Amino acid sequence: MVDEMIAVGLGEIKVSKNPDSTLVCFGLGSCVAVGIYDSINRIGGMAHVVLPDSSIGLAHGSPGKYADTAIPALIEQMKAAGARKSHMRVKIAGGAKMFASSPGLSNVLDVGTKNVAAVKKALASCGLRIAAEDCGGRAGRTFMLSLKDGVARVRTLGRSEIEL
Amino acid sequence: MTNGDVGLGEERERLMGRVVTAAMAKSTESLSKMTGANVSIESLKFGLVPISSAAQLAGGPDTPAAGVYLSVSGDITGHTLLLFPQSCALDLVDLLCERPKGTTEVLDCMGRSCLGEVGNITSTSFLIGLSEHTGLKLRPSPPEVVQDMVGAILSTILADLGLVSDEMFVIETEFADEHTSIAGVFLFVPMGDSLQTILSSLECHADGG
Repeated sequence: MVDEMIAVGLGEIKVSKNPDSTLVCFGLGSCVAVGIYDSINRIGGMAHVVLPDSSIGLAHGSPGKYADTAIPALIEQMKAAGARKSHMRVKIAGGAKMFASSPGLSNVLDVGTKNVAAVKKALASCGLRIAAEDCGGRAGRTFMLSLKDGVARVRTLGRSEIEL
Repeated sequence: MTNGDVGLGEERERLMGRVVTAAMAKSTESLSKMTGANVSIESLKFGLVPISSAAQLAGGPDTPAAGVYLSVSGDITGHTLLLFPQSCALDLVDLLCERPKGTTEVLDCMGRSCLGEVGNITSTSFLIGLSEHTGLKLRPSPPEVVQDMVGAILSTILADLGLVSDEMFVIETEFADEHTSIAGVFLFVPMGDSLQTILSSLECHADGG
């Protein structure tokens, strides 16, 4: 049977109870994908975080857009689907620096690093540890979380696919 | 995206259409002079799109791509990005170097330099055209060439835009000479109040003010 691919776009949060599905964030640059898997109930969720902090910028941005709101929202949506926090394993990927030094991007040149730090802080605040990560660097990533077994895979151009 | 779904209003769409057409014509004229090839714009669409759908441009978020980025400063602030799927970027290098299609297989230093110049000319010419129609003073940065997946290239620009907006202004283009069409996306992302500044200046100039 072919897995159902569930794409998680910019600023989105998605949760699935289908064990034959794979949650995926395509083309992560400075954004960070947060994947959480409940291995007992086989429920998975993913957030595609764009910015670190909801207190700056648009007040009406979706909760998935900001690290500090995405993590609590993702956990709540997974719990609403039947997942238990004690079973949750977290894997994250992304947070690259895509541009070297362009002056017009000075506000956000290091947003990847900030996103990773903010995601880690938010996860710690919610009492969750990170089981595996592939973050930083200068290359984009596609991050996939299989609900069959909780295995996460990361694809990068010019590099073999890795498992987290 | 079609020109009918701009979301700017009919009169502003008409004004913007005129300046976009004129500005892109200036780009192709410059490209033709640079290369000696007879480069033209095959198709031209523009409008406002949600940030969430921006990564679907240029073949989708995990499509390997090459992009040339310039920032804009002066009377407005913003970003420009000329983005091609990787295969089209290679075809464009062949087109500009007057080599048979398929000759360039990897974007090496020469290819990146070539592409950087294309992006520089395209974006700068667009800004000159925009300046001529609005009277606004616009300063582009030096170009930066980036190769990666479409979504990854767009992410940092979208992060900056995401601080202040949920929409971006997009121009979709197709360049061609007598033999080849190459699909590319030109993104012009005015930040903050800059789009409003541009539209107001267009209206003012149209009224002869």
